[in-house]
Amino acid sequence: MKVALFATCLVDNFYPHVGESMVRILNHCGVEVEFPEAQTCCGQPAFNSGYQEQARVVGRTLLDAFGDYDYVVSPSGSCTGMIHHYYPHLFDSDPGLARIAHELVTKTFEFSQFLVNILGVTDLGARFSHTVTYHPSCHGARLLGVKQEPLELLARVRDLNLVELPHAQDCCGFGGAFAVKMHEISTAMATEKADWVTETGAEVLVGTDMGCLMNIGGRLRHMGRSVRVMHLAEMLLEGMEQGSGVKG
Amino acid sequence: MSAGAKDKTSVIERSHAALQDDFLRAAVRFTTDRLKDRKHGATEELGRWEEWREQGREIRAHTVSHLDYYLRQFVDNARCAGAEIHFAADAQEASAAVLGIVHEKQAQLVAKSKSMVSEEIHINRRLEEQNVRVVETDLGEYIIQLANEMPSHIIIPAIHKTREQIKDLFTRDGGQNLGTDTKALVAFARRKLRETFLTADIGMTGCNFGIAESGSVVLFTNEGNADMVSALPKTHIVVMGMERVLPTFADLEVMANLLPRSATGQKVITYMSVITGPRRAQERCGPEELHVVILDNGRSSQLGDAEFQDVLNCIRCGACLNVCPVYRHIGGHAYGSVYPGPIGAVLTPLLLQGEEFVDLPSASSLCGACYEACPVKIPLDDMLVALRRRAAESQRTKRGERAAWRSYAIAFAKPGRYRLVTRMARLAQTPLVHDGYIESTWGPLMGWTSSRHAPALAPESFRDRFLRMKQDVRTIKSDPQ
Amino acid sequence: MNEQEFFQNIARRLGREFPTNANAAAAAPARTIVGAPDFWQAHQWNHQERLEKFAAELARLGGSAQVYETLSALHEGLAALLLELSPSLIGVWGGEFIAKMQLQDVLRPFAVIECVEQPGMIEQFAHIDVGITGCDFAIADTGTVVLLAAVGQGRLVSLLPTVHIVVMKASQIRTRMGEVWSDIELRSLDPAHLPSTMIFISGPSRSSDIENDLTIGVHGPAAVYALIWDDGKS
Repeated sequence: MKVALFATCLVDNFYPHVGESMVRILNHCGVEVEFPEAQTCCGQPAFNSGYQEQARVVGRTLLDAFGDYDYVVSPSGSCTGMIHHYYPHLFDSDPGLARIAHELVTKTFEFSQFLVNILGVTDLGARFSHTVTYHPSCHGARLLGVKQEPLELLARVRDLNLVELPHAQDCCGFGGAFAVKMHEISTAMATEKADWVTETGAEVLVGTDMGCLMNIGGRLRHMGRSVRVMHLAEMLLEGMEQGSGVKG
Repeated sequence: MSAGAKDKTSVIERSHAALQDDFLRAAVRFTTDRLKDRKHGATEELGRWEEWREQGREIRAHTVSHLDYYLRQFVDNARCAGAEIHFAADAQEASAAVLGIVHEKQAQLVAKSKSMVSEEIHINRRLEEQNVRVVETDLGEYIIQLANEMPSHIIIPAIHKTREQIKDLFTRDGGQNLGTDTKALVAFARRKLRETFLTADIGMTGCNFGIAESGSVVLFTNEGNADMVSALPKTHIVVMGMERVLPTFADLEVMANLLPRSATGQKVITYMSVITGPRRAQERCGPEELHVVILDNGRSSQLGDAEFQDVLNCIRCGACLNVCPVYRHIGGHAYGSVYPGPIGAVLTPLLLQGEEFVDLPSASSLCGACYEACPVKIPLDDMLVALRRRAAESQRTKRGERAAWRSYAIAFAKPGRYRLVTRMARLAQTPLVHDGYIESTWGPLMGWTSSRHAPALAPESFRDRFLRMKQDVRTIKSDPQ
Repeated sequence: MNEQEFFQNIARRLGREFPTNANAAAAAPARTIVGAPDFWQAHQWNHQERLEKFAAELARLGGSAQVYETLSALHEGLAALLLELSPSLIGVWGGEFIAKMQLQDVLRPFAVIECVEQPGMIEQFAHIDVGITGCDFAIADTGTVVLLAAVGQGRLVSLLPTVHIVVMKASQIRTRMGEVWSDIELRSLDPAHLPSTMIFISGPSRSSDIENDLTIGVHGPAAVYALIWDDGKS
């Protein structure tokens, strides 16, 4: 299978280690991945703010980048959700682009979905002896239906103490530009989420979207709370390195 | 905020005020958590909830897309049963129709049961201007009427009021030596409002559902006050949103299951009253005249619009409010009009079209909880995005914002430009970076940094790192162990 | 706005023309989905199940249901209940109700007014403590009693008192709401012949408007009693 990585602009610029973790995990599972350089961003930030034309121009880079691949894997439920839920509509005025967009929908997966549902992998031989709580991304869960897959992966990590996050389904307040445009409301939401995280007593907060984690992590840090914030891929890789001696 | 007053504030300003009100926020959290949990229990008990939702969606969507047929059928049958029908294009016409009836009857006291649509047309204010006394009889509505405020929740209008405040309001309305315990307060309201029921000239209600096959008006209450105001006074006026129709009684069974569970987690509403025309010739109990005022007020503008027609499917259950994280923190008044929460953020700009509501759809992180909770599956989150798009396309957003997104599109349209821009940003941020984070609250992103640390751009982008990783692999592969 | 314009506007936005000839009946839109989901419509309980479920649901709502093997046992039960409540004034459905349920003897010791369609009725019934009615149907699934308005069977009797007593037969109980509609339709769906009101009452009146604190007996009755004569018929 020819697998491409859709890194997302957030991971590309702010969290390259997340992308690296994905690559190493997929390699370990016997999957070679490529990174087509034509990609920039899925266009969601502009789209959600109402700037559809701008979103189309930018999202076009994904149509150009992934045409030749069997699968596209992304570390973001939100960006993958953008493709699945809005790309057919976004590119419906041009039949050629519409066709590519529809194909992209069928072959793009969020990382945990790809591991569990496509590769059939849940046990990576990881060991992670920490208390962990998990925040599900709204778009991942609601637009894409990512609900069980991260939990299945976490369940197979040895020595991991998973504490359920109260009000896990409540949005963390990121919402892209919403976090800046309506920052007071956004902060109120992030503060509540941060308080719930703290209440779990977890050492590590894990999630499948760097937008959420950047927001919650940034709030926690501002509040002076020390919780380690990790993307699921980063946590799994570290667990694999501690578990079966996989070289990072 | 006084009911009916023209409020020129923005949603940001109103939210700011709401976020300072700790009691309000605690009350909203408590109320919505409870209603949400109860809904969950009630839907689990029913089972196969997704199938019920789909049934509800199908029935409402079918009705709305054939509204010309079903509304006509409703009107014809209601007339057969003896009701008089009035057609109102907007709030003004609806008020005029009501006032016409009031004047004809020389009515001095109107008793109302809870009706969001009557608040939409500000009928209480119109009646008071004509020196007609109006009394709200739903307990929550009675409370906010005494306080001269708008409802803060579709189902439980007075959640923002403490029992002390309620006791004060009741005392001002004639209560004596009232305690703050619920029983005492309710006992006062029951006695006081019983007088209203018995002496009112006109009873006014909304309409939860109009049944087309019989011309019946169906009312749902837990208190029984809709029955009181529709049984005792000589005239009954129904104010009805034109989309609130169902084809048959069989369809009513679906709504009778969906609505109470979604609104409060109750299995069944306490009083479901099906009214078909005024009382019959030989009857004494019930009104002599039944008037139905059918209101458009911007609803018909959504018909034929693929993006927004489904908003008319709403059955006003309030489930979207109870799951909305934004509503949870800012409460109902911050939405600035009669309908709060996600449904309000969509309906208000659509119906009222005013400049003052252009920003309302921005007060959402688009988390999608509203769509998930809606018993008739209205895609409110998609509609919020569509409203934002229309605002941007019609140049009703801020110029700075439009310029920012244009720059984004230019920079991100080509990978080469994108690399250049991000490299420049990596350099420019250097003075602000401390320990991998940007904490400075300077600049346009201060909305973020005033309360959250922002990550600095990584020294090396992922795409550069990937190239290095591939290089390392090639090096390893070409170097046999 | 005039009616024709109102409908024309709706029809045009939906891509149609509204028939201007008032007699032109548009064809009913085709429907595949009607009413409750199929699995729900197929759902049926037998006589005993309906009886038990109705009583249980009414109890859950804070009401009270009692089942009697014979009508005279029901009369004894009613007498005991009234003794306990000791109302100053009882309002009762008029017409044939008292005779049909043979309530004359039970009611004799009390001050009773029958619902007779006459001026001053509302003022009279404003003072009743207890209202005794029959019902036309009941619904097991939700503990609901269904009262259809008729001469002598006005809403005043069930709505105004503090206590509402329903004297009913087990054979009136249906499994779910949808069946009630079917039964009513068998009578007639002609709007002019439908009852002016059909009330579905599920337990006593309630509200949680004051700080989310549940309270019973806000405007309607604070107590609902269903006295059920198990007439054994399905």
